[in-house]
Amino acid sequence: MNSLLALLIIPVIGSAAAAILQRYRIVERLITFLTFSLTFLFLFGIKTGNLFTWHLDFLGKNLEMGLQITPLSIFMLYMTIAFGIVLTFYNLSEKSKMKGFLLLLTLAASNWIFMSADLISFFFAWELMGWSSILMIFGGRREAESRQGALYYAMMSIGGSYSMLIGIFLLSNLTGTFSIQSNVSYLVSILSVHPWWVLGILSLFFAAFMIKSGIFPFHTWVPYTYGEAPDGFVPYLSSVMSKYGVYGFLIFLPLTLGAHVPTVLGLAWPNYVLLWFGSITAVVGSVLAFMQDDVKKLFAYSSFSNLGFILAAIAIFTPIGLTAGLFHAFNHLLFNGAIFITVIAVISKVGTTRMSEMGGLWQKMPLTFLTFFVGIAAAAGIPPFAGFGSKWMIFQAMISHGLIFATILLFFSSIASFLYLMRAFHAIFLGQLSHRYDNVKEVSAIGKITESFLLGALIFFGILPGFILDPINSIVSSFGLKPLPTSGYEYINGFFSSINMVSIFIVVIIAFIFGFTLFAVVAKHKKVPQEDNYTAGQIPQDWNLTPEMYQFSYDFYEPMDKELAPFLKVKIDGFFKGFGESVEYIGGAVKEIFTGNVQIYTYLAIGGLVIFIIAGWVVW
Amino acid sequence: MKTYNIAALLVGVPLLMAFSIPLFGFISKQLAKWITVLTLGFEFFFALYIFLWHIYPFNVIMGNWVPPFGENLYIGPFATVLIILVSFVGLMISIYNLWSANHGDVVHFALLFLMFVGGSIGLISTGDIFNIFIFMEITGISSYALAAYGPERRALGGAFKYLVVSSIGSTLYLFGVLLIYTQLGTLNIAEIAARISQTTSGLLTFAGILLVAGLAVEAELFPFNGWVPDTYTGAVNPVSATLSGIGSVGGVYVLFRILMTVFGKDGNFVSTYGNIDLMSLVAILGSATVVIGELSALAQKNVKKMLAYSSMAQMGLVAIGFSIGSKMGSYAGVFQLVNHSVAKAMMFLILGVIVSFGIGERIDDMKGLWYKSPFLTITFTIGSLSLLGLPLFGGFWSKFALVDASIQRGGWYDFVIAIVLFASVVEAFYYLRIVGYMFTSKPISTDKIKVSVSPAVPIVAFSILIIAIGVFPQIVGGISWNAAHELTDKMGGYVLNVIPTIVGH
Repeated sequence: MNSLLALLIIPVIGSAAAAILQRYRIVERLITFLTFSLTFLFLFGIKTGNLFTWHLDFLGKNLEMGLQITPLSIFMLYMTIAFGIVLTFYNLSEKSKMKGFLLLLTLAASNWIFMSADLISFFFAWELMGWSSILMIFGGRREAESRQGALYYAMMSIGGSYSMLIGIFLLSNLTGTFSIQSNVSYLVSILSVHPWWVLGILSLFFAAFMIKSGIFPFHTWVPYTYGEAPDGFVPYLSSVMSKYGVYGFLIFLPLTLGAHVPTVLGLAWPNYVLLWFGSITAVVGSVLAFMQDDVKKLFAYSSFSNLGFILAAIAIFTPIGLTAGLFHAFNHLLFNGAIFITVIAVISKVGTTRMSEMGGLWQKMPLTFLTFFVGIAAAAGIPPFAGFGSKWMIFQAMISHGLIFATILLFFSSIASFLYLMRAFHAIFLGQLSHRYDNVKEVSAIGKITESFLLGALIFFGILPGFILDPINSIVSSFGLKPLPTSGYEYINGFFSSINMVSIFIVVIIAFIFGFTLFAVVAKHKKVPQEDNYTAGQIPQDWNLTPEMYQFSYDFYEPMDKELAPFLKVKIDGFFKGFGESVEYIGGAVKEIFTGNVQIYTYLAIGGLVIFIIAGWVVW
Repeated sequence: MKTYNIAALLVGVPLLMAFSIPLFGFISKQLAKWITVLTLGFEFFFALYIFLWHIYPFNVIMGNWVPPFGENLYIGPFATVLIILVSFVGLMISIYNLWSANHGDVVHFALLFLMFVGGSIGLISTGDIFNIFIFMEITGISSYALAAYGPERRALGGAFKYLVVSSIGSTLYLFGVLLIYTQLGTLNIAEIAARISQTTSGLLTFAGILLVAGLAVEAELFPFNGWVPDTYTGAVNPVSATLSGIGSVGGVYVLFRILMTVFGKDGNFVSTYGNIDLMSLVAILGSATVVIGELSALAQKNVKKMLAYSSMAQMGLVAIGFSIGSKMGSYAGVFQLVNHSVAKAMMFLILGVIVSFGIGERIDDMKGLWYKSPFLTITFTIGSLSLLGLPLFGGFWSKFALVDASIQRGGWYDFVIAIVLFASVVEAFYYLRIVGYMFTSKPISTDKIKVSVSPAVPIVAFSILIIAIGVFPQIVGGISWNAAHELTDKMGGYVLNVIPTIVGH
């Protein structure tokens, strides 16, 4: 079988099998896992330049549909399917109501998105991915909230894809073809003549991509949906599905390479605008994240904040910008996957998502603790873990263009991310263990394998980033840019300098050993129960204090919250909700036309007729 | 002119069998129901034969009186695809009725049902505008009675409203026909179509307005669609399925046969003769219908009423598609009509099964249906996703084509399509809300719903068809394209096939 086709058909077959056997949860999960693995095997059979076309008799034409493989699609396919294997393997022991057959449909759609050579299949796959993920989100931990989250996502997602649909037709009616390549080159050819028109088309497409990636101002659905989706699906949402938008951007971003458009600080102005969207997203995500008490929501904000970094980097679209963006996309997949998998492991053990009800869990779940720790270290960009290199490169790319203000924003966001990561880290794992969790156990063997694997990957790709930078370099050169120089797997070559990650790793290890020795030798420990702390001899119950209030992270950033309160009154979320409410209100009013009274209906019909006749008369 | 007179059976057999059903009813009630199944099975396979062996387009000449002197049936690609659709939906609903119609006057129910389907097929195939009126009355009268069938009081109210509004509609239609007849002295569609420019423009406009107003009742266009919510909600579910899956097909067919073939002025985009462009009028009506239908559906708490409003809105979409007047627009219209009929009929049938197990028809009652019956949940989801135009299901392609056609036409259709897409987002909200209720919320009692064979067959067949169209759009696409050609090229596509010697004026 053709490998390209196999990447679409195998998940669909697996999905059908999983749907039929969905009653037996273990079998269903096993099928999901095996299908992901089988799809991955077929991935070895595809190479850059592979092409598969077929003809579809539609719209009265014989349309050519196609699948094609570019270095970018190979990169995305490997990344997403490999992560899917890890996640579905973990899910073998996970009990949330995630429907495997929908995940497999999403996989088929995802593969198709990355391979499609024409806009029809791209849109088909995009919508398929849309609805299968929407249906998946129904069935989260909390019923009503998960329904709300899914509907919010659905509205945004469908709105976005309709905007893309209009863009597709505006474009294809001019070029007479649906092929992505010819449409993009058409846009390039008219860019200097009709820049506003091109910008209009691009915004229709970019709206869809921004919504899918959760870029400001369309980020509002992300916390609701990530927060309420079934636990087993959240890692996929954040690690894999947010990348579709990135892929979409990368289809259209090469536009400004060859054309003569006005520039700002050496950047074509559409790119400059996108860069600002990215930077603002990074800040908004970080600032909102550190006020969350719900751990899934916190990392939802964190997730799209990182997407802001990625967008800012790829918007620059120089060799270093593109490399940095793709590298950060990979790292984001890895560390966000690790964070979310450990987080859902914790949630499944403690049964709550509120951080103020957790605490001290490192004693019970040491491996989870360690994986989470390395995950957030990577997310914060602490060397030598994955995540450091890409952030470092992003800053280099920004500074090399002299984008001072955007760089400051990203720095600010990076520091803010320390704040919320620290909070989550402390609130979940450090501090005192509540008595409720005396019986909590470490994750099952399957969970341990998954976590160790992710831990290993975070360290491995941190100290040997060359394994990822190599394929990224081939993507960069496929866009016609000159890739960054390479010098061994352990080096990251930036704009100003290069870093040897292995030596950094050794330094960090030595520092850690030194610090740990000091800690072990010098510090005096005394274990006290949770209630013994902070009260200074008062009886807590007299003051209406509950154990949660003693939790280290309870109202953790209260002063900061107060400072930021005026800014938070501006709610984009409120705009969308208000819009929805007014539509519903109008619906209620319109409904009253159909009163159920036949006289009214008769008047309506006669009235309509009279209006027509008058209209006819006037024109006559 | 190609003739194939045996195809008169398409109209004759169901009407004949309908009136002999009381005789079979003397033997057994079951037999009466089986007769409907067999008759409609014959219709379906005959229509399929006409389609697959590519016998269309052809005429049926009565008594060797060639048109325009005699009465004729003309079955071109448009009629073929709709007859297949109507007979298929009819066949499926009649199979469903084996299970569902088991109280009350079953024999007369079977009679009326068969008469309704036969009348619709006649409506679609006839080549004479007065016969259209006759078939409209046949379908109308049988559907009033069908809508009143069932134990519930609300059925009577719904049927009465339908009766009143629909009578107004057919009277207006008759007036319109009268005006044309006074001008041209003929009732044959092909001849009128060829000579339409000889009429007085003012009278023609007036006639056109009367015809559009009259036919908009059946085509469910605002403001002539007041009957829709109450009648659909009141009728028993298979009847609602019949009305939305078959009745509206006939209405839309006649509306655009008159507008595009009779009144149509060929061009890049078909417009109509007369002082105002009736196609634009229908586009405005269609947009209003879509918006009003979707917004009203949003505010509903009753799933059946929601389906009724959605049905209205979908017919608005179909009307917009045809009213674009281009080949692509008619293509989208036919395609959307097929997808809507199949999906909506299926959803009413599913609702019928759900209700028969004592579960209510409010949204809240749908909670946790997944735990009671994954089969019904999945099929209902397939139907709603198809209506929403999501991929893997038929509706995707028709909505895709509709947007394409509107953007190709450009001008004020850009606004129309923007309205339509906005309304579609609203539609997505309320359908996904129902689906969400079905998938979430474990109900208190998880008694499994055992769906017996005869309702399961149509539901399965409909969902397979929806997915088949979704994966292979060419199943419907090919013939839809021919139908679009028939509609947009009135001389070559219709008139010359009926009266080869006529000269267009």
